[in-house]
Amino acid sequence: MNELFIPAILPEIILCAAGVLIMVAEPFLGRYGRAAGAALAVAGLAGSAAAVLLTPRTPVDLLFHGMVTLDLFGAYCRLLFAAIGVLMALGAAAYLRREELPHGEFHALLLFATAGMNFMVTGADLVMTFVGLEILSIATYVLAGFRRRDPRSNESGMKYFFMGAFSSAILLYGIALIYGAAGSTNYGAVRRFMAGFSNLSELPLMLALGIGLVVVGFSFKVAAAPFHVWTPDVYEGAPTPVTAFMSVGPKAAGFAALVRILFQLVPPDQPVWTQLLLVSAVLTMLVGNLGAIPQRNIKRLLAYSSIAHAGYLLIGLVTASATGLAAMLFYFAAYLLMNIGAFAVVALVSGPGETRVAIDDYRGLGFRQPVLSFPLTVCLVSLAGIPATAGFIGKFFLFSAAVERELYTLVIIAILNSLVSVYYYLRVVVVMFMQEPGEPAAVEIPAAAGAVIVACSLLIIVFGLFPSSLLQVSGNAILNLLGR
Amino acid sequence: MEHLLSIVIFLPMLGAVCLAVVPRTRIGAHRAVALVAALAGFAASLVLLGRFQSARADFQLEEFHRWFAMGGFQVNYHLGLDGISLFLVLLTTFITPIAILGSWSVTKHVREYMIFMLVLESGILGVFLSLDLVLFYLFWEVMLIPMYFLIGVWGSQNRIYAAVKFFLYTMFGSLFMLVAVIALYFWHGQAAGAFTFDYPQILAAMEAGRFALPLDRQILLFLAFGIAFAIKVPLFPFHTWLPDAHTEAPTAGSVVLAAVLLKMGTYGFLRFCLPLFPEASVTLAPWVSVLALIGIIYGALVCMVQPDLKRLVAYSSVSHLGFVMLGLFAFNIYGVQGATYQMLNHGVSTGALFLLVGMIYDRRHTRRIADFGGLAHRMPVFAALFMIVTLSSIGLPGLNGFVGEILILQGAFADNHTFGILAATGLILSAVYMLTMYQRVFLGPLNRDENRALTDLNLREKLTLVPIVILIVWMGVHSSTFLRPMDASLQKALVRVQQVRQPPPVIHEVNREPAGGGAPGAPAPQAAAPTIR
Repeated sequence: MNELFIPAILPEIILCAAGVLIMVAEPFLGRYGRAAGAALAVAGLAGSAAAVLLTPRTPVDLLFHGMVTLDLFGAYCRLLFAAIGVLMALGAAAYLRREELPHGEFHALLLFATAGMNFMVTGADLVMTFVGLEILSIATYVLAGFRRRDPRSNESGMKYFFMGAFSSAILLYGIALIYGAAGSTNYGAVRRFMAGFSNLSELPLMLALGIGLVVVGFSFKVAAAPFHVWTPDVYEGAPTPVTAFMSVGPKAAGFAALVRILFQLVPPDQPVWTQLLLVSAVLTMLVGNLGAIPQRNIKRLLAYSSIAHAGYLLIGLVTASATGLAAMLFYFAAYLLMNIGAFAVVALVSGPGETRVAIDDYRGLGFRQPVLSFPLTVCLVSLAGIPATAGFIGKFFLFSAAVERELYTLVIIAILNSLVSVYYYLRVVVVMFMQEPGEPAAVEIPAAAGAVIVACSLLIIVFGLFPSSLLQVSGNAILNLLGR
Repeated sequence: MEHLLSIVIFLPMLGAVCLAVVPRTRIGAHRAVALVAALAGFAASLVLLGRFQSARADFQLEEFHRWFAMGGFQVNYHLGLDGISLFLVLLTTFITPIAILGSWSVTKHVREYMIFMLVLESGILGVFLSLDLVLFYLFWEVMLIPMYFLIGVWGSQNRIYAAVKFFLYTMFGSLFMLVAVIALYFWHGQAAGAFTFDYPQILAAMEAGRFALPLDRQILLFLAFGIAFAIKVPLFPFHTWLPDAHTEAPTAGSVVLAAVLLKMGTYGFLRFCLPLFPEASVTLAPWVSVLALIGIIYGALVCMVQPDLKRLVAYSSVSHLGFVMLGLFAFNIYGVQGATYQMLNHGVSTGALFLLVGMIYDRRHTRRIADFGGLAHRMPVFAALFMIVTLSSIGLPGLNGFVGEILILQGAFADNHTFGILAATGLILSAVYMLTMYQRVFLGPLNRDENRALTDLNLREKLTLVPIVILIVWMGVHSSTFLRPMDASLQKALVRVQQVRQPPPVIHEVNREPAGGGAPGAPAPQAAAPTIR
């Protein structure tokens, strides 16, 4: 248990080393810097993924004095984060060039953020999880305000920072209370402490409050209602690739950390927070979907859609079943493909200075630029949860898990929300294909970004039609986490 | 060939993939490839007909593969054909090439148009052939997207409103169906010990008594499935999407919508609701029948005052599909045979009507009945074909419509006299509005200058209509070609509802006589009658 087993954190070491290397090397590379930065970032992320895959199995899964855990769940999430990073690095290159943004810093921050997310999901101690969250958050604050000359981006960075600092404080307060009650911040230790109480009402108030505050802290991060209010403004102002990253990376990491806390720190037979999360899930779906209807700005629309998706993902937590959690893990993968794909198109269409971000700017895009419009349609259709896409498979299993637990009301609310979401996702499709074309503003499609867009949409369909392998992996990861 | 059904489903899809690589400017090639793909699909489905064994009531030519699984969930790729789906598949593959041939007037984005048509065909065929509930749902939803694009991109004035309305309405129903599918999965699994989405397996468990649903759950599931199907049919209060979608869609879109898409709803009732939830079906049958009757009469009344030719045809669908629903929920073999036959009739006749309306719209760019008059003078061939189709639609003996309607009426009378009488009123009304329309459009003096320059049908247009007219007559004169293969499967679909509701045998004895005597298409029901319990 006390082993300093380096392979366990090798992926993060590689990420940080690559990040530092990019920062150090950038000034010396001159005009090759851009390509080299992106290449190094991709190499670092690929290296981290390889390190995850090649990590030898260990007899014990708690390492570094109980700070880090090595399990399939962590491995699955770390691979997802590496995939997010690679898609981001490839997709953002052209955007950074167009907007004349410093690319070295971008890639370095991306790698650090990924390392932070990794620690959030591998941490076996609240302190470790918190440190991972902070590494992620600080990198993301900077990224959100990355377009320094644009007031919208400044606003976004500032807001995200304040909300982030606030939520971190709440989280930390919760951790302190848990420590005060249980005498430890280690998941296993807290769990053993809690196991001594046969039912909820006996639980010390301090401990219950602490766990509640931790959940609230993460609810901010994943933009779950009623802690979602920052999302639209921050998503709208941040540079589009960063918005894409924020909508998938921190959200998935936040959910994953929450899963680990609620199922490894809280004993399984005490689903303490189910009712709270149920209310939050319903609220989040409603707020996200109803909020999206009147939006005219595509980034705000996708921001509300990402709130709504936090609501769907919460269903997985509410069910607290292997099916529901595995569906959640599957949905992470589906969600990252559809959101990164959609935002990659948005980044290209937005044009220099991100001036074309209204939905009406997509008028006539449909048949003029099918390489953009059809993948975007696939992403939106998948977000709406229509079959033959990965989004449907995810929702299908989330709903199934809820029916399995006989949460019929929740399912009915969820499907009505899906219906509402169909309306606003389709509106974008209507504008692209069905309204009379506006003035033709041809969008140049750089190779790397185009590849990301096409790859995302193809993978959405592939995982929509042949989801077996991914389902199996996510199912195993959850069984491993639940210790079955 | 073990994969015959898959081939039938995916041939059009293959054609769509081929189209995607044809250069954008080669419009002629797009049309040709699409037509060839659709015809190949038709040819493949004829092979299906050849290999179909009429005497068998169970599923034939089955295909079964594991598709995906998670934990205990196992979703299979399970296809099968029986007498109910056989002719709906044939109808689909028959109508699609005709619709494509009727789409030469489309000049905007022809390649994408044809791709969507072919994908639509694949989706519909998948619906009729799927035996796994999740696979069924997948095809059911997938087919929405091409239809949505066909209406929204190639439709007329109000197309966007119609497309979105169509999509949202259908989606609303199908989401409830999805939940019902999942609930059925768990309830069946908990009772029978085997978790599966496989329709024949669930049905077998019910038949063997291993899985019995209490009435309240049956009603819930019936309603959840039923809302999806009722919207598709469309049953009376859920019909409002239909006039918009039909009117705004391009000609081929309306043809496919009317001819095949609506049948997905009635097929759903017959395939799933009746056998799976027999007690709920019997309990709710009066309600469904009343809604169907309202649809029959309301649709007909709207048609009588409808100034728009295409909308008139659309509303006549509401009326005709009401007949189908009434027949299905009569729960006797006449009604169900008639309903199934009427599904095919309506597909053929209304498909043809939309084609005809499309031809006149291409020439005059108006659909207002008042803008026409005396067209028979300028377009004799067109007028003659229109007359045949009109007569088929109102059920003239000797043409296809009669066989279905008489069987449905017979079934309805056996079930409930009042229903039968009211439905018969609907028949009279349909003759009134169709003939009035025909008179106003084709007869009388040719008193508008714009109409004097009209040209009669060209060869391509004749080619699209001739197969339909042949079928109309064939189905009217020799109905047993179609009724006999359906028979065994229809009997089987009825077994469970008839067990719930013992039909009074006396009425059947009375009704067998007119079946043999009156109708030219009646030999089949007579042959079927002795097997009724």
